[in-house]
Amino acid sequence: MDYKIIAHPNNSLSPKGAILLMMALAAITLVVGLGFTLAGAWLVMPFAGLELLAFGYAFYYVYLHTSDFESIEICENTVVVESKNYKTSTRLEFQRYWTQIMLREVDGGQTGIFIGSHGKELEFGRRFLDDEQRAKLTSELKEKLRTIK
Amino acid sequence: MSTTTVAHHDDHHDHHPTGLMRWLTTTNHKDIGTMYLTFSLIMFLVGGAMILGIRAELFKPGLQLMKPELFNQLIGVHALIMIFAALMPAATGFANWMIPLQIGAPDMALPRLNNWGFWLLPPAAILLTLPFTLALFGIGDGALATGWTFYPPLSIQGGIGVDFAIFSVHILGISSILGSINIIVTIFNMRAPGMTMMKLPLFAWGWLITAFLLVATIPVLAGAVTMLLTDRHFGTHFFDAAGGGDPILFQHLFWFFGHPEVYILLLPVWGFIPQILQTFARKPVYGYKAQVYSFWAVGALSVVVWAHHFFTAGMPVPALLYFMYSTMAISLPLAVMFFCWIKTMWKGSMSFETPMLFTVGWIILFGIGGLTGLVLADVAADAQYHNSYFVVAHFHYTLFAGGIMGMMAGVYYWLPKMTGHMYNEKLGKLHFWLTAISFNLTFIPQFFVGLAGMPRRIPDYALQFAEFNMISSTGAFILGLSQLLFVYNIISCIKGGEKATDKVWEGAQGLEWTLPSPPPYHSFTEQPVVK
Repeated sequence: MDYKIIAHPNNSLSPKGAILLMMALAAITLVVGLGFTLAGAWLVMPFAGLELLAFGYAFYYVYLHTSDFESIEICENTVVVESKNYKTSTRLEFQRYWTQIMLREVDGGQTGIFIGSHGKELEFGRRFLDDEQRAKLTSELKEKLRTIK
Repeated sequence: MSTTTVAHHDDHHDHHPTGLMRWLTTTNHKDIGTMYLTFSLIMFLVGGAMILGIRAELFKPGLQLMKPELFNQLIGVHALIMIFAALMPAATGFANWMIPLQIGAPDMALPRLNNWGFWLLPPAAILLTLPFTLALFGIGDGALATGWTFYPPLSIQGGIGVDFAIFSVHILGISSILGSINIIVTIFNMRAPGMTMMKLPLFAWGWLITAFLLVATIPVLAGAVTMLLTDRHFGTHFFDAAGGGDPILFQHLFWFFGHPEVYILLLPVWGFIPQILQTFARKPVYGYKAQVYSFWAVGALSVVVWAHHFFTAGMPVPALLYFMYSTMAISLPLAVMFFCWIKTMWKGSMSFETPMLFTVGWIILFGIGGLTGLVLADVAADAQYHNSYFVVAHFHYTLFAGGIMGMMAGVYYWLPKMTGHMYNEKLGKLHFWLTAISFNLTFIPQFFVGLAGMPRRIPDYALQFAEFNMISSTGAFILGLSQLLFVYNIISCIKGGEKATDKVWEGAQGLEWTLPSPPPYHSFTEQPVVK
């Protein structure tokens, strides 16, 4: 591998931290729910359960996004572009010699980096980079493709 | 070989609709924050107008303007609107606007959920007030007339207004939970690199504990009002003594939510007050850690003291003692906070722009609210003061002075950042003085009539209370009309005015002041790093 760039979201909470936080929320909610159930107010418990389900889904959704990334790897003969968004992963491999890098305007007036060859093309950097970063990266990628052999 | 890593928070939301669709479908935290704050201001005026009707009725003894039924309805709906539709949305509006900016995140963690959280509020407000309109057409007998507490047996016997209020509370509760989920996930997961938990701005800390309190208490309120609904319509007897139920159980359930609710409204204010003090005293916040630990202490204590709201309902002596001492214990972390606030100002290079005036006024008036709360925490004294106007005056010192005046300080502090324009300083100062003076004119007499034995929630009263009630009503009308200055100042500031600088205030500190005024639609296109 000659060069690799990875773009991913910033997550200040580790997966272990998320589990601990979820456990703390569950403990608070269930202790309160159970206490009032024992006092005769059992209808508190279903609402406590619904709340926990909502929290659980929110954390699960965020957790599935924590491993999102986009990467470009330039090897001796190939360029590999990978991305993961939620549950969907894509991977395209191009011959390095024929690979073209283009910065084009896309809908909304913003730019997108398009990487492709032989009729296959993939957009890169739309999710995690801004226009300025995309322009800079395009120049850098063109330079790397040309110089590192 | 070279490897580069670009870390960013989340997708850039390139789609930026305009016109009505921008506001209906927006997932932008600043748009949603603006909607929360606008909704809050409108409902503040609606709730205020209701109480001016009450104060007009109480201007003189005897029944002047309305029947006792309408009087009761206005009191209950005024409270519910001010708490759920004015103060809570104001706090959530600030959270939406400022938490992402303060922690270096480009948006909230779950933007669509954020949109739903807001759009649940208008239907809830309509449900709460609709019975007034329906009654005009002969449908039902008006809104909820039980006070905001829904106490049975009155709420079991009440008209359709109670049902409307129950569903409204459910919707408001869902909105609060959605907001809490978003805030907890955002603060934990979207902090900029270097923004450790102990570097979080105090406002974010205050809101984090508020969110935890909502998580602990909203299911209890939801359960309680659902049980009330089944008692009313489905033959259950949870709270109906005639069927072997226990009305006191409802009081436990309600106040398990109701007391933390006070801190849910106040903690966000306690969060940004030190930031305002720091800005205008031009000194760092004193006792950051002490304040964070005090927030936690108040949060923890707030869920174990609820029964002091109904000492007079009767409970065993050990329970009375426990709830009395635990309630009084809340004054300890609060004393730490008061000390930190004063020490932040101490020997500072202070200037008194409108946000600072509101903050200093807030400290004094909220202090009175706290001290009178200590009086009510005393079981023996409470037996005398319970259900009197002393209680009304006390909680308005905590919730109007401590809550609403705090929010006003926040509005004046952040409005130039939000709009890009300076507000009218002279008008702001006039608004402060009119508010502070008329507020005291309204509520100091209520302490006196309360001590003399005037009960709350009555449309008529003994002649001996006439003078103080007249003063109180006069104060209330000045207070109400003064708020029109506030509205005018905000609207003028949105429309135009002197251009605000990025930092706005000389002594301002924090990430939000590093962005332009107003901040761009997408806040941090380049991730800030906190050192």
